Amino acid sequence: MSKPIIGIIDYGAGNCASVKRLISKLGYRSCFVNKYDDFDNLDVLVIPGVGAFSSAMETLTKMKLVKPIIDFANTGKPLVGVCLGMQLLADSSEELGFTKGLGLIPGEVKAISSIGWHIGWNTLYCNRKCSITSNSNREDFYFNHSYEFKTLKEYIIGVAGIENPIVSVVRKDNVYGMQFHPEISQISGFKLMRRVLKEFAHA
Amino acid sequence: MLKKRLTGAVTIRNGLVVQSFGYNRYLPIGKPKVVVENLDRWGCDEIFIQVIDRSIKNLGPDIDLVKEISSSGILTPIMYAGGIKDEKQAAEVIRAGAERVCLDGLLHEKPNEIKKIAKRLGAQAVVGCFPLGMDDNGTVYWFNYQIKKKCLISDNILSLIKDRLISEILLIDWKNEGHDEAFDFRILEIFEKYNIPLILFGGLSSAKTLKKALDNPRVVSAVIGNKLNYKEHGIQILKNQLSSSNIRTAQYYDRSIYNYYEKN
Repeated sequence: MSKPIIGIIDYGAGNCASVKRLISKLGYRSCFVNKYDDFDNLDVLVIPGVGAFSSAMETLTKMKLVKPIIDFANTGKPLVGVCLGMQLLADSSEELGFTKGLGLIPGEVKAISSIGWHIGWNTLYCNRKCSITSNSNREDFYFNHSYEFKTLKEYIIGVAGIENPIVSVVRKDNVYGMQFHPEISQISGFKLMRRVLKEFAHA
Repeated sequence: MLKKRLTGAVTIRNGLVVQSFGYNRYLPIGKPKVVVENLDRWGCDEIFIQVIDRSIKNLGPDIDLVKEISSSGILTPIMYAGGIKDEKQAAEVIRAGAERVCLDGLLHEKPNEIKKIAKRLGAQAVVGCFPLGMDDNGTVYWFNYQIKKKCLISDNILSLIKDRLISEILLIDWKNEGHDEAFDFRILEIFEKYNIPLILFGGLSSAKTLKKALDNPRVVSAVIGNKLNYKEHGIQILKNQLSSSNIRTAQYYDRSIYNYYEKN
C-alpha cells in the first residue's frame, strides 16, 4: 500500500514550511499545493496560516484555490486548518473589514473581546470526546491570534482557558481545525499532529 | 489562562552568537543553529533571535539564518529582529520560519510601513522593540543604537500602539543588558497608560528578578540572554524556581523523539 500524501496549501502564509517539516518528521509524504492540478491524488489537505484573514482570502482567491479547497472538502476527504487556516474555514471574518471565508464550518471570526490578544502558551480543555483531540486534554499549546472563531457548540471540540474560553479545536465531520500552532508547540503539538495524521491519513 | 513566558535570547553579530554587554562589548559564544537547538530542546517558551548588525550594515533581514534554523526542525516559536526595512522583508522573515517580527528602527523611520506589515501579517505577528533608558532627570528615552543617541518616542509611534497595530512591546533596558540583576523597572512607566502586553529584556537573570518581572500583571514574558549560554537546562532550573508565577511546566525533549515516533 502506498503512503498517503498530505497536501499543504502554499499561499505564502508563513508557516507552510514548518508544517511541511513536521509532517515529514512524522513519516508522511507531503507536497505544496498552489494550483488546481495539485489537488489530484491528495489524501489529506492542510491549510496552514499566519497573518490576516482578509489578505489570506484575497491571495487564495487570486490563486483560484477557493473552489478547489471547498470541492476537496465536499468529497469527504480530510481537511485540516491550522491557526489562520482554521479561521478560514468559517463563513466570514470581521478582521480588517468584512471578508467572506471558505464556509466549511458555520461561524464567524470576531475580535477577541475578553483579553484582546491571545499570544503564548495556554491549556487546551476538551469539552467533547474526539478520537484525535481527547488525549491532548489539559496540555499546553502555543497560540498567536487576536481574532477568534465563534461557532456553534456542536462543532467545538476544545477551548483554551477556563475563565474566558477561546475556541481552539473545531470539527465538522471531515473538516478539522486547530487555532494553536502544533508545529511549534513542542511535544504537545508533535503528539497531536501525529494523531491527526494517523486518523485522517488512514481513514 | 495564558502562561507567562520565559524567552531565550540569541544575539548574533557577524554570523556568530555573542554575549552582549550593553550592546557595546561582545564575547563570542558559538554557532546560531547550535545555540537555538539547545534552547529548543530545553523547553524555552519562545526564542528571540536578534541579529544586531543587519540594520547598521543595511543588509536586510538574515533570511538564510532563519531558514537554516527553522529547517533544523525546532518546535519552538521564533521571534526575529534585525534589518527589516519594509513589509516585503517582514513577510519573508515569517515565510522563512519565524512566528513574529520584532521592529525597532522601522517604528521610528517609517511608522506607515508598520501599518502595512500589520495588515499583511496580522498585528499579532508584530512586536515593537524599544531599547530604553532613564536619564539623570528621570526621563525615559529611546536609545537609537544605529546612531548611538538618546531620542524621544514620537506620537506617531504611540498611535501605532493605540491603534493596536503592535501586539506586544519588547522593552530592553539597553544600559543594563548583559549585567546581572540590573533591570531598571522604572522604564516600564513610559507605557503605563497603554493597555499593551510587555516583554522585558536586559539584566534579568536570577529567579528573584524574573519573579518580580513576571508578577507584574502587564508583563507577559521575560527574556534571558547570556545566562542560558553557560548552564545546561538553565530554562528548566529557572522554571522550577518560578513555579508560582504561572509559568508553563518545565519541559525537555530529546530530539530522538522524531525517530521514536517514526518507528512506532
